[in-house]
Amino acid sequence: MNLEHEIQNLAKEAFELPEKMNIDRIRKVTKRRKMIHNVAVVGRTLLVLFATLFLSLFIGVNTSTSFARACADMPIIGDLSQSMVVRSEIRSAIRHNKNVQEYIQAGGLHEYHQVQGGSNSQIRCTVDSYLADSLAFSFLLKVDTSIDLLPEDQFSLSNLRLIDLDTNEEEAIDLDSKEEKVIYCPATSGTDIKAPGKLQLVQTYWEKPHRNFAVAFEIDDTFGKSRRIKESFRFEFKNVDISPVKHYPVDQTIEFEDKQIHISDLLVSETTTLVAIEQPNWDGYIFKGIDLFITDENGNTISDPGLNNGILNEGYQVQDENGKTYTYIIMPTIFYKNVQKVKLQITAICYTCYDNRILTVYPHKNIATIGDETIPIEVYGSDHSYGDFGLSDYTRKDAPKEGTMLFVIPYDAQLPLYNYVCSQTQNGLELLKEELFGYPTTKIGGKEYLIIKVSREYEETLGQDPIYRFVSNGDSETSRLIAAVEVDLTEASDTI
Amino acid sequence: MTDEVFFNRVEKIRQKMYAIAYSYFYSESMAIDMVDDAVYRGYLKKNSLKQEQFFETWMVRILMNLCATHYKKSKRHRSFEEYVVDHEPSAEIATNRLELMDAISHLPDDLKRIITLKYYGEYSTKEIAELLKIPMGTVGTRVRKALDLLRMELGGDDI
Repeated sequence: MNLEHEIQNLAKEAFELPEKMNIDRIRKVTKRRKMIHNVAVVGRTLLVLFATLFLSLFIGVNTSTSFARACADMPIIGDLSQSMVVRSEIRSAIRHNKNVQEYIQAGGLHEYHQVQGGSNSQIRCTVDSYLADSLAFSFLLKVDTSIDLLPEDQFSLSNLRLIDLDTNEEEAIDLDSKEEKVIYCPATSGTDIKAPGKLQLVQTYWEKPHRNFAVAFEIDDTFGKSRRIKESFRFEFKNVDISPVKHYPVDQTIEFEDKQIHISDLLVSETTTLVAIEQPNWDGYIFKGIDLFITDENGNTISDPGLNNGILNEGYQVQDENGKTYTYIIMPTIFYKNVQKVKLQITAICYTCYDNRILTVYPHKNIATIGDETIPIEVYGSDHSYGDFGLSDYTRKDAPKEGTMLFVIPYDAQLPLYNYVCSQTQNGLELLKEELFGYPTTKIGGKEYLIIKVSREYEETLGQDPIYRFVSNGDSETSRLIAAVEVDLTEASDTI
Repeated sequence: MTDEVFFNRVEKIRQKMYAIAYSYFYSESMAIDMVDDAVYRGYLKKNSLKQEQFFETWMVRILMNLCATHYKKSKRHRSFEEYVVDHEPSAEIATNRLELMDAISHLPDDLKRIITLKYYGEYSTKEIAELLKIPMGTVGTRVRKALDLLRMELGGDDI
């Protein structure tokens, strides 16, 4: 046989582009890696991976029973050291999360020990223990498998939901803007299902605390299409004790350049501290995040997100009953700090500008608008009230998942490149999702079209109509400033 | 170069980038990782690229250097079982292809790059010459040399 022909056949394997090679994901991965150094990010759940950080030292030197015994006679240290005897696998899972360390030291860890086989019995999950307070629920999870794993194998945890067992209400948890988070499963699990995995801390912020609830999620093997396995898990938690959160109203405004930002509240729980910022209504700009740390009265830093998880300021957005949006900036907890007053020190505010070319899609009307211009479009969705995905040139690698909308827009509409999905809130545009909508093209009846693919979770309602709003923006901008807001902690206004 | 332009350009060449990375590791996940890494490095240095018409050349060079470095470190070879699991070929095809993969992976680096660019990147001789900054004649010579070495490695003239 011809050698060149053989090489060409071999090379053909590489011409089937995996789903993961889509430009949206590549852009996201790239931007996230870049952001690690400098930008705030919006997300509601942290899946804390076992990154190696130096903070393990804090708990590492104090974990032996003999040390605890030796310190037992010393006031304060005695109590602390005794409670710091934590199983090594838990220490390993939480070693870079000082908040959780302190919470566990204070007795906040609840043993749970439930093991569950997945729906196809190829993956097994163990929830070892959990932590719960008014702002956050966390659990220590281990994944084992009977699958023969390769070194590059990895598992994803996705579609995390909380189900209230009293009301059956389901609360979907936004895993860092719905992006699948990766749990690295040790590649030591051979066919023996008893081979141990490692505990990981899955930390999630809930809208409201629940006492009886189930946590449901999916774990899947993301290695290759031929090996793809996805299994569902559901763990129930009953009579969970929730410690209250202290609420301190702040209600102070900071001015910078020609903009204002209003800090409304400070919420302190045993595992986390949140700084609530009212979504600013800036003409032409969308607020993205803030860089802040908390000091005591003497200027000593007592809460700095950089020391919390080694990455960056995180936050999530909530809407109150009046439709006002707030961004909650997640900070390391100051619960255990013995301070009367604190200062919220703001060093930077991050925002992005947008122009007037907001694309509003009305899927029920099969139109999109930019300003006064109306563009007829085709709409497809996994909901069959829209057309199905029978787009001939839309290859299977880009096949949309459940809950996805496709908007097919004539190429000659000359759209700018959209990279934000936003919603119009009472106080300005809210950034829902940052993503480059990569515009694959397709030909229908000889005419060329662009396709915008978006998850249905970003649908908002305008009157009776569901709509999607896309914003085209330039690069993010960061204003450096020095501003401080003082908060009196002597008495919380209330507890939640 | 703006982000928009950068990622538009990456999108145009992502198929080639993936194929090139795949040729080093014959593993989807490794290839994706390599492309991700190359794009990230390119993104960080995008403003240092003075002539945007050389974007593809520049990115492919970054990618190939990364792949070559990583390949040397890992020295990972696909096992028969892995290949069969992923591609479900007949035993005969699997055996032949694994031998061919093995032979290509043992080529000297300069010859391997030529094979990768020609068959996986589907670049023309002229484009390869530009990519590797060598004369077109040298490209032709190296292709012939690589194919000769592969024939020797695979045992004879019948292929």
